[in-house]
Amino acid sequence: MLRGNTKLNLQAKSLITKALISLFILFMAVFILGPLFWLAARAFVTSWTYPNLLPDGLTLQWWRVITGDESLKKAIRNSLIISPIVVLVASIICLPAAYAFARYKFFGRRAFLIGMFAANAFPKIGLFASIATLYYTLKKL
Amino acid sequence: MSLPPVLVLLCFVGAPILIAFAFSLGHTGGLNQIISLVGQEIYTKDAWWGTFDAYNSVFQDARFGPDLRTTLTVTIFATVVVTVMALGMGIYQRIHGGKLATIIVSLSLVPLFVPVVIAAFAIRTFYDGNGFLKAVLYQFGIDFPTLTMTANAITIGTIWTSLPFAILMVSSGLQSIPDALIESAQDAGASFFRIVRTIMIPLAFVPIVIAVTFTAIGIMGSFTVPYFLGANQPTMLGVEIAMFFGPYNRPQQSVVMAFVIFVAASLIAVAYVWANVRSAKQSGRI
Repeated sequence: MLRGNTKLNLQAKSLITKALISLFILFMAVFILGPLFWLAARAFVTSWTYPNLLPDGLTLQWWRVITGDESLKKAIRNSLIISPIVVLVASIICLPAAYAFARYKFFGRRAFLIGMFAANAFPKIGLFASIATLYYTLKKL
Repeated sequence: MSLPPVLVLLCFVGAPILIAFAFSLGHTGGLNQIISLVGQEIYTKDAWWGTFDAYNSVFQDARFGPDLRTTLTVTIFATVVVTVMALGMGIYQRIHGGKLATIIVSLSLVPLFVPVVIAAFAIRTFYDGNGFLKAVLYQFGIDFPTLTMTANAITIGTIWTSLPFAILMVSSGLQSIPDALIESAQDAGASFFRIVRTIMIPLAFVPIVIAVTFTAIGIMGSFTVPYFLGANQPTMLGVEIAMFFGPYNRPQQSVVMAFVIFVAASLIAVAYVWANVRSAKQSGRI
């Protein structure tokens, strides 16, 4: 990013190239942002009849519905409590280790690094199944 | 200082995986005792090392073949598309720079800040039977197919969620190539493609391989995107693992599938290790 503003005069400056790049930007905008806006718009409408491009009416009714939902409040509270704790614990565990791996050479350094990568190759959902398998028994002990 | 994460890894990843591996081989006692009582269709070992009965039952299951095919197809196709897009945007940003390049790259980083569940749901509504794409094309009299609930939608969703990491990795690799190298090649009369092929890709080789391997491994074990966007059958193995563990109550089969993905992902991981060794050799560290 240091040389972000450097321009090398390699590019073909033709109009066709520019048009193609603009088209690509448009495609990316629709591809990346389209679903998010389409979803967000649906939070404010009464109903939406296919194939109209505009909704049938606007409303804040759904926001009243969810703000009155007790279980949703609990879910939001859980998210707000759990995520900072996870971030904190992960930082406490990982930052010193990252420093150690980067600065020192110690026995088994390479093996541990490869081990961490191998752990990443095991599917998350399979890991959850494995952990649940283990905890069923640990709970019983 | 490196002990805590290693311990965490051993306790919460290494141990469960080893115990699950024993379970998949039919070691139903000890720590696997309760799951073996709860689950259905549990195979118990008949030799000291175990049995392959659980593996056999998975491989003979009519669902497994199409699931594996879907998983591999989506993984390969999405990885190729993500890599080409990341390379294209990275090279464009490196060589051209400027405002347009910044817009494209920042657009493609948006998915980084959107939780996967919300992204999957948004993409689901966008490509659905009453979604944006269908509605817009209807105005022009085109009957666009409904993509939601097909493998195509899974591919679109995985590309959407995998783009930012690949782009960050590849473009930071390309940015670290000195201008002098590119300019001197240019002065010697090298064409654009020659510069890309003989200077940019070799010098950013390791970041590119990391991007490809991590993308492929991430896609192969993904759950949320195929769960929201795919069909019930065939689907990706990540969804099937959750289904077999929970609703179908066949935990042993679900663990077997996890190991099938693990083996496939390990083959990809070998490429990563090979690239690292290659770069270490080139710079004379080995």
